[in-house]
Amino acid sequence: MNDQLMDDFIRNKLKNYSAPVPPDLWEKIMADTNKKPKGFWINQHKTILAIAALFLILAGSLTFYFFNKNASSIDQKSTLQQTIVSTPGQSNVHTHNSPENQQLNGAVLTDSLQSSNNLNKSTSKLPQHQNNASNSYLSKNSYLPNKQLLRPQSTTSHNASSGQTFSPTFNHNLPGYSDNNQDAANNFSYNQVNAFISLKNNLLYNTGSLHLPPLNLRRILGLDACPNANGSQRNDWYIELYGAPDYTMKSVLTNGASANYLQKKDSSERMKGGFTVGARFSKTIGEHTYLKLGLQYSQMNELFSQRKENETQTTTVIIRRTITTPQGNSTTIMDTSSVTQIGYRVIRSLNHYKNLEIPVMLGYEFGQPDDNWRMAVNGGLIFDLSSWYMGETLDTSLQVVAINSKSNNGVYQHSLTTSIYGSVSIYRRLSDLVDVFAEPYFRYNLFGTNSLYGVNQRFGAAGLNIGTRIKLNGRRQHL
Amino acid sequence: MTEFELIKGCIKQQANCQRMLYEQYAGKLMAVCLRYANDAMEAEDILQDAFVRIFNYINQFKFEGSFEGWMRRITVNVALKYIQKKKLQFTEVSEHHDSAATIPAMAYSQLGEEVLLQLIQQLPTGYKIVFNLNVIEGYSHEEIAKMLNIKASTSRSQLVKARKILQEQIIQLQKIAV
Repeated sequence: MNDQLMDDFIRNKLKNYSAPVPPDLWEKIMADTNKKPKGFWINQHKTILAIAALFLILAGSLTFYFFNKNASSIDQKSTLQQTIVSTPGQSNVHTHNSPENQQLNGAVLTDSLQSSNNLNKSTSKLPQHQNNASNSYLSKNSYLPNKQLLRPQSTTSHNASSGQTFSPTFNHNLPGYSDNNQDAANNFSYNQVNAFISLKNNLLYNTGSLHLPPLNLRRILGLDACPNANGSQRNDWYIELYGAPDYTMKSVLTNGASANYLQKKDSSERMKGGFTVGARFSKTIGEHTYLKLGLQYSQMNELFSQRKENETQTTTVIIRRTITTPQGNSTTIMDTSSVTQIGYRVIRSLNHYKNLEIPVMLGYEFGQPDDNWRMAVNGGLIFDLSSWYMGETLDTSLQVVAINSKSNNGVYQHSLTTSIYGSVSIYRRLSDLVDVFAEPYFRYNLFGTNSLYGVNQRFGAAGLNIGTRIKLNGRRQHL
Repeated sequence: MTEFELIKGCIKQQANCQRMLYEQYAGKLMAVCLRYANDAMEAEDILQDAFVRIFNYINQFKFEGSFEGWMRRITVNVALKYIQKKKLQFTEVSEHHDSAATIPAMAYSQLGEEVLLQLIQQLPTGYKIVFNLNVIEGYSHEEIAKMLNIKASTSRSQLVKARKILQEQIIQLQKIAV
C-alpha cells in the first residue's frame, strides 16, 4: 500500500466517522456554557444595546456629577453670603452654619443647643469691644428689626425672619436689657437666645435641606426654577445647525423569507457609512431643560456586490483588409468573426437609503448659560417623514433587481418608521449668542422596513454631530 | 429546520437549537477528539470545551464555507491546546519503535474505523497530530508548522514516520487476520 493510497483509505474511513458520545456530556456542556464568560465578542444586537447602555451610563454619571457640583457650589456661595452678613458678629448666623446645627433630628436638640453655646462662647473670646459690638448689634436687631434682614431673600432671609419671629419672645427680657453694657449673665442669656433662634430656624425652615433640596422630577427637569428679577422664567429660543458622519449598521430579520435568501442577501450587502445634516429649534422649558424639534436629512450607504456565474459575452470582430492584385487592382476584404467568453460577472453598486426626518427630543443641559463649556444629554425619537431608496438588491430567485423606489411600488415598503435617539452634547460658547457643539449620538430603527421579499430591515447609526447653536431671542433672562 | 435556521437559533442562544446542533454533530466531533486525545476521557473533555466554544462564538460564523468545517477547526484547535498544555515535544522516535497495537485479532479481518482510530491513537503524540492535521484535516505542512510552532521539515518528517508506523501495523494486522 503506497502512501497516497493509505492516506486516502484512512481519510475516507475517518473523515465522517461518528463516535459514540457519553450520555451525560450535554448536561456538562450546558452547565459550562452558562458558567463561562462569553468573551469580548458582541453581535450586532448586542452592539446596539451596548452603545445604548453606554449612553445611559454616561448620562447618568454626568447627571450625578453635575448635580453634586451644583449643590456644592450653591453651598459655597450661600456660606460666603452668610459670612459677609455675619461679620458684625451676628452669632445666630454662625450657629446656622455650624454643622451640628444642620442636624434637624429632634433627638439632637440638646447637642444643637450646646454647640450653639459653644460657638457663642468662642465669639465671646473676641476682644471685648468686638463682643460688645456684636451684642449691641444683635440687640438692635432684636428691638428694631432691620428691614433688609427681614426681607426674605437668599439664605440669610431665614435668619432675618427668625429675628422677626423671635422679637416678641425677646421682649420678655427687655427689662434686663436697657443698655449696651453686657455682663456675663447677659452673654449667657444671649447665647441661649441665639441657640434657640438657630434651633428654631432649623426646625422651622428646614435649613439643612436648603442647600440640597430633595430631588424630584420637576427639579431634575429644571421646571421649578426661580423666576428672575422681572418675574419671568427663562425663555430662550435657539436654532441648531449640524452635520455628522455616521457609522451605520443594519440588521435583517426574516418576515417570511427563506433562510437561503437571507443568507445570500446578507452576504451580498455591506453597510458603508452615511451622513446626517439638519437643523432643529431648541426652546428652554425650564432652567436647564430643552425641547428640540427639527428637520434633518440622513443618508445611509450600502455596497451591494453580487457575483453572477456563467455569464456569456460575445464579441464580434471585423477585420478589414485591402489587397492589391498584381494587376494593380485593390480589393477590400472583410473578415467577420465572433468570440464568445464564458465567465463570471461581479455586479457592484452603491445603494443609498435616504430619509427626511423629524427629530423630537428633550435635552438637559448642565452648567449655566454663561459658562464657556457646557454639557447636555439628549434623548428622543426621530420620525421618518419621507424616504427614497436607490440601488440594487436580490430578489427571491437571487436575481439582481433595482430598488429604485420612491413610490410604494418599490422593493421596500415606505412605512412611517421611528428611531430612538440618544446623545451627549458638549457646547463651547463663542459669544453671547453663538455656541459650537459636538454631539456623539446613537440612533436605532424601532420598527424597520419590510421588503417585498419577506425581509425586515432595521438600521442603526452612531455618529458625531458637529454644529453651531444660535440664540434667536437674544435675551438673557435667567438668574 | 435548515442549518441556517439552526445556526441563527444558536446565535440567539435558543436551547432547543443548541441541543439539535449537538445531536447532529456531537458524534462526528467526538471522532475528531478521539483522534487527538490519548483516551476517551480526554476526548470527552476536549469535546465539552469545543462545544462550549462553538456555542459562545457561533455568532462569529460568517456563513462562508462549511459550518461543519468551522466546527471541526474549533475542535481541532481545542484539542491542540489540550495537547500543548502537556508540553508536546516533537521527538524523534526510533524506526524500530515497538508501537504495535494490542487489538484483538478478530478485528483485523477488516480495517474498520474503530481499529484505525485505535491505531492512530497509539501513535506517538507528535506523529499523531501531524498525521491527523495533514492527512485527515487537510492542512499543509506550512500551516501545521505555524499552528504547532515547528518547522515545516519537522512536520514532514513526523508524517513520514507516522505513515511508516501505521503501514507496518496495518500489514502486521492483515497478516494476523489471514
